[in-house]
Amino acid sequence: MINENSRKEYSVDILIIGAGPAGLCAGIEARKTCQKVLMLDDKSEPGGQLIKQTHMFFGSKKELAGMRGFDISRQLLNEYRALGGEIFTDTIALGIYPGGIVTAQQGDLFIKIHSQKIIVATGAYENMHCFPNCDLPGVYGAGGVQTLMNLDGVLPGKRILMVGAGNIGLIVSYQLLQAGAKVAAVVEARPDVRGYEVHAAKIRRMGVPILCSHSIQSAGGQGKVEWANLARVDQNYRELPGSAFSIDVDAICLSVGLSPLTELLSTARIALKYVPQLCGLVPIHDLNQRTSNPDIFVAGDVSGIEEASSAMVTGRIAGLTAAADLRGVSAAVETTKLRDQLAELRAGPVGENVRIGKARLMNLNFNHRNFKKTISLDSPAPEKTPTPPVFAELKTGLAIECYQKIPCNPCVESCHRDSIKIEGQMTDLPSCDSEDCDGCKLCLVNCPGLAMFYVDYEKEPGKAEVTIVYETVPAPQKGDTWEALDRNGKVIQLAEISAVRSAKSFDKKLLVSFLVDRENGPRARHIAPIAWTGELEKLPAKSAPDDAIICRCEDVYESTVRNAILAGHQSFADLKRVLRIGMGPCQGKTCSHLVRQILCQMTGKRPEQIVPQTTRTPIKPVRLEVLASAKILEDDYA
Amino acid sequence: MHKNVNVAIIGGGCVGLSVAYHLGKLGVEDVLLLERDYLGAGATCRCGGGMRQQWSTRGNVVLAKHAVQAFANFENELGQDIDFVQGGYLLPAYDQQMLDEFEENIHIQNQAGIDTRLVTPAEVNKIVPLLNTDGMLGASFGPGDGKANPFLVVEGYANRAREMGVEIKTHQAVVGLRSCDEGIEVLTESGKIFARTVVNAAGGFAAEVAAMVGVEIPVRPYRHQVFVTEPVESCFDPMVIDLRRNIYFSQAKHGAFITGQTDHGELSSHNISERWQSGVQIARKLISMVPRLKKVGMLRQWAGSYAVTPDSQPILGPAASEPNMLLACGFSGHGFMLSPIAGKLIAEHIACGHCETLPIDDYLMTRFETQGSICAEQNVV
Repeated sequence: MINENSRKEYSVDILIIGAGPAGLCAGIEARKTCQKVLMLDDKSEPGGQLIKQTHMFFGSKKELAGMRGFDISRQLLNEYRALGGEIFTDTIALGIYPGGIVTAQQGDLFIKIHSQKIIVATGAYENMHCFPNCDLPGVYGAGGVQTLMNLDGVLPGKRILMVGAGNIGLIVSYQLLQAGAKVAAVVEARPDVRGYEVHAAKIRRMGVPILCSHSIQSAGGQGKVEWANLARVDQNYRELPGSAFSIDVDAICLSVGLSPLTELLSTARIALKYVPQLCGLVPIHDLNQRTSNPDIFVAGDVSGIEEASSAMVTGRIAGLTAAADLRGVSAAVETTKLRDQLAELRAGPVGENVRIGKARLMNLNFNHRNFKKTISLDSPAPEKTPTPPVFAELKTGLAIECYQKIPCNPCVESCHRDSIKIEGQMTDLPSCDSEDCDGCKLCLVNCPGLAMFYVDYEKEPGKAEVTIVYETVPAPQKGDTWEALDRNGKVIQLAEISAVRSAKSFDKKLLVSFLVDRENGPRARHIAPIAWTGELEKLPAKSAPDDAIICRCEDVYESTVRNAILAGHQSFADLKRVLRIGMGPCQGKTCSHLVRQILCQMTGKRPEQIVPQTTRTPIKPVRLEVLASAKILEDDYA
Repeated sequence: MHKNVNVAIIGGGCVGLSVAYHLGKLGVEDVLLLERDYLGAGATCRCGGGMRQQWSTRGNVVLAKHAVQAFANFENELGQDIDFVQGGYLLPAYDQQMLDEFEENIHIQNQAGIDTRLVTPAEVNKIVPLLNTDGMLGASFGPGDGKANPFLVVEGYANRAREMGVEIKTHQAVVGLRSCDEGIEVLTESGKIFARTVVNAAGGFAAEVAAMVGVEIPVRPYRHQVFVTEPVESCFDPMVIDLRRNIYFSQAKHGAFITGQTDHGELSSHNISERWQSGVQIARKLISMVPRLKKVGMLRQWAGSYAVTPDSQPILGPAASEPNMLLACGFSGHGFMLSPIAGKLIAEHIACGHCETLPIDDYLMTRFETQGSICAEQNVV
């Protein structure tokens, strides 16, 4: 199917780089009409971040919402393979060169792929956070923790501090709890939780304190993380004097944002622009995901950080357009539908940043007739932090604690009596007509945010029976006496477990019912074994070094960077010249984000005014013997 | 921006910066350096960082001798560590003809007071045990040659020049020049400057800059490919230039091997994008010469311009029909290593009207007017 020459040279119609949700969906659409489709992925298992996502996804049922990430990955991969699409795993793309040439390392071979169209779906990388001793063993990125825990079955620690309350920080905290670790606290420098409220609610009711306007100041320990100093911070993230305290933890998990992984696009000289709303340097692209090079497309997080559901849709758009290009036809009909889907996913307040970011990007120099329809800058007034509703009546029925407009609808589809409705867009809130509800509780199991509860005031006199979804260890047994917890994880009273239901369709979740006093029906939202939860113990702040590492490849510390900036080196190029910053194997993936922050802070420039570093091929180091294995044809010299 | 200056230097690479530094040192006032990107962004920060005195022409040998001395004294004089290492240069010979040529060159070099010598393969094994000496008849070895970090050289020159009052403007491109009475008007993106003297240190773009005042100079840019490996333990002192394989390589103080080649047959252009094929070729050659490096990773590949003249020797001194433009260009791939002496000579020419350190007659552009009299440098990779 794919022209192959001595396992070193390939020629394809469409090459997709990255087999995550965006890449797989691009591949599926491309393969439907195009013969030679090849996908590369640097990992042994395709699926990108999906393979370590054990939680249920939000979004529309159309993008497989309600399924767990690894199941979505499996389904997309099967679909791509069933269509005859090919994947090279363990294959690292190294550079994109003129004429549609991509070089890659496959095992010990250096291969060259010639392609008519290239779809880059390389995803994102995790931002680093800089504090004294941030390089101690025991400090992990959230993605690393997920890999360890969900793929390798290794817990990074027993008592963990999560830094950052975005969706990833909240989700990984929940996964850590599910895996049996304690999450001592989640700290968030901003005054509010950045992630979805339902994700925050899940860990709050399990007793995890989310400390907003707090940040990590330093860490320490004998050769590994043993403690972290935290402090309250002001709006500019400066430590408030006297607010510092220390907590004992054995691992620190950093979840301070993602940056689009655009290195390969840089090697192809694609026009990039720094757009804060899309989380960094992103390729300028149009509504068909086409970049400044008409033969190169982008899809998923590399085109701006979003959720997996949007990544899938942008992948489909890129795949359809690239394939239609090759046939000389238009994919306008199909892609318009997909763009409507995308608009729906990006609707509402949580999609506002992406809408603004994409509009800024596309306003640059592209003509796109569907602009108004798909990417509207008009957005509703920002919503305040949602507050739980007050349940005045103690009335039997469903409690839907979903009060933030996020793109999600599996509950609607799960109701066999059609009594759950979302009026308007997918981002609007669901409601249930209690007259129609027969108490089957299937919606509880289907809600990706675990935001649905059933409270029955008629089960036993003077009591309320609360039913929740439970998916952590240890599992309760019927008849056990546990503690009932409120929405903040505070113990309310002892509770008897009245029922534990499981079913194959529950996907390993349990429906657990427990009895509390009637007046606690509106408050009790979780259960835990007796004395399972505890207060966060705040100890006096410990002493720590002043300086923190910035560039790990070249061993450059923050004070050195600041002194160099003071001495007049106020750009990446100048700093590189005097400090070697960004000249190591990672080419600045770890430090450039931090250096940009420091440059902005010290020079008063905005991040978009800082000229980025030059990325050079190969984007990952290649052993000389691998490089030497390449086959060079005479016409390669042309 | 309307102003008058004594000297406007076009180009903020090591040559332009060296001119600026030496002008400051000689007390010349009102000196302005214009660089269209950041300092060193052209060939300087893309070069391999070597400096050698083993040339085949007396002209190059003499310049190089002064330059190496200046680099050896750089930290003393400018207070800037430049990672200078005097590890020598080794040029292997694989046939008798090559050996004979090296012997002739060594004669020229020795006459100029440089202690180059021919060494046997057995001696090569002692100097660099890791080097594969298969087929090697001998080598020319100059222990006084060395290497330094171009980034830090830029840093040293720029800082000292600024301290002595030179104004350095980066991200300021020269868009035009106009000859006028007793000087040249320099048009930049942000205004006009009148300069009594303009120094053309524009590297690969020197011909374009000269053309702005109607002077044609035989300097053409050629792309050269370079790559750097990950740093490894220091194990390799000299820079090796293999003229037969068409490759040079050395280990920088930091531990990384820097290596490059000429892509034969390429036409002159300003294209400096990297070619993966060149990376592959360089890797093969490097492995064949130092087999132990095969497990080491290539970190980054890039390319830069050699601004080449017909005899591979630089052009220094006044531009023919526009004596108010001084040329410091056409270094043919040796601008970094010759920058200390080139800058000094140009500065002397401006300050005193003549060059005190050594005569520049051999480097004037008038040498190209007489056909057939050119003695071209042979030892270029």
